[in-house]
Amino acid sequence: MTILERVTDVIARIAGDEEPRRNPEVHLYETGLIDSFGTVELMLALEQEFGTAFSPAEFDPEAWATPAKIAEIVGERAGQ
Amino acid sequence: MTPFATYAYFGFLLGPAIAALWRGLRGRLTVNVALAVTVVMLAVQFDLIWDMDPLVTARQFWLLLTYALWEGALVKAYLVAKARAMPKWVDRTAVLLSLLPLLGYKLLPFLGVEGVWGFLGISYLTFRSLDVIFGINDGLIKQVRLRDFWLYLLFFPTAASGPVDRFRRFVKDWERPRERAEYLQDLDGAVQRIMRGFLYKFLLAYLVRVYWMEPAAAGQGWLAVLSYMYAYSLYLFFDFAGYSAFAVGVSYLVGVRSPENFDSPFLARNIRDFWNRWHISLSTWFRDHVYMRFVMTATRRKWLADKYAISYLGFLISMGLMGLWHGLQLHYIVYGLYHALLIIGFDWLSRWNKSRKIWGTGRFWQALGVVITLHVVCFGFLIFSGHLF
Repeated sequence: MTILERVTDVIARIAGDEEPRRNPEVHLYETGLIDSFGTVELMLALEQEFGTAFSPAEFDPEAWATPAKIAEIVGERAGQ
Repeated sequence: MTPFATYAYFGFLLGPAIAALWRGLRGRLTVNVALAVTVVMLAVQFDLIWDMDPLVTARQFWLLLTYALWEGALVKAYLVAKARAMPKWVDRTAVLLSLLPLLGYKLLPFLGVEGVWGFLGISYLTFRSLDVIFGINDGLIKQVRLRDFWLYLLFFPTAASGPVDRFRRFVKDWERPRERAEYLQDLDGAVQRIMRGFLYKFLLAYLVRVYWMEPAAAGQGWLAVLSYMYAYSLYLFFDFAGYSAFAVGVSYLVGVRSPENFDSPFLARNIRDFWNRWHISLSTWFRDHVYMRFVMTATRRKWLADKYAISYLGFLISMGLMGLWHGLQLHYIVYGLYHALLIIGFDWLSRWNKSRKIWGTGRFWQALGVVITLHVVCFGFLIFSGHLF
């Protein structure tokens, strides 16, 4: 599985919705799929999946807006 | 003198603004220009140049300098400590030491200590210092130049009442190129916002206060209270959004794109939407540094089994602290708790509605949401105003 597929899997599970799987460009915050609580769940789940920790202090709704963007962040972080 | 409150202030601002403009138009706006303008304008704001306001004294200026030195030393010491493996209590101590000046300012009067131990903007500066401390704690900030830190902390347009910028964003701002073309764009943004500031703060807020709010405050009976509620809400918005427009506009003038603080808050569709539109820099600070931080720790350590209980406790803590931060008076505390309960109630109702689909997402429901949110929010401002108790 690619990083994007793994990330969308995690997001879909937390959002309780298949939309992130169908559309990696969906805006997670504007559509209400993810809220600030969901973001923390997402950070913790990504930490488990990829072994890299995220901090609420680095949360930026623009940078974390879509599954594709999140996959990019995770890719950069995991590649370090 | 209070920033952006009088025409005299804008008179003092004119010289430094022209200097920044001159440098900017020649593509030579540097961090040192912003630093120089900040030093001059802080001297104006703390009445060192011309004694305008009997409430502001030179003592406040020295307290401000001591505060800046204290926080600078703390940040440096914490960075050194973080470079080695340190026990958890070091992180907690760093947060506490950073909060100490604000706690002293708020609590010393209760301990019978005479005199003023704070200065204009101390609570906003504390948010900025804590942003750096949390960033170091999380390993996001690994080095800090004192010049950058002090400019970020004391940056004059936003020092007194926000918006609350973030250190990493602020420093990045200085890394982008500042050529003439770029500066012309910023200038455009500056002029628009400063004009909006005059319209909101000097015209609309003034008119609402003199012709509606003050007469309503003097009135008797519940109709007068109702009238005061709407008048105060409008006044608060125009006054504060006007102030923020000035602060962001003047930031643009010296090349800093300070974050926006308002986004048509009275058009919010629900209470969560409202907090994404009202005093945005404050609410996102609490979201990231209090709510999400608490939820993450509580979930990791399994403090509570129910995830909604964790979330709701997080709302109570963050909104409670937000209320308390405005002041220790009862109406501020009630204001914070009122909003915490609104957010919790809204979250609970939305989840309840998910399976029942009582209300939908069409235009009618959106409009109804706006109307309800508006009234609920205005009632919150009535509590906040201290008019009730």
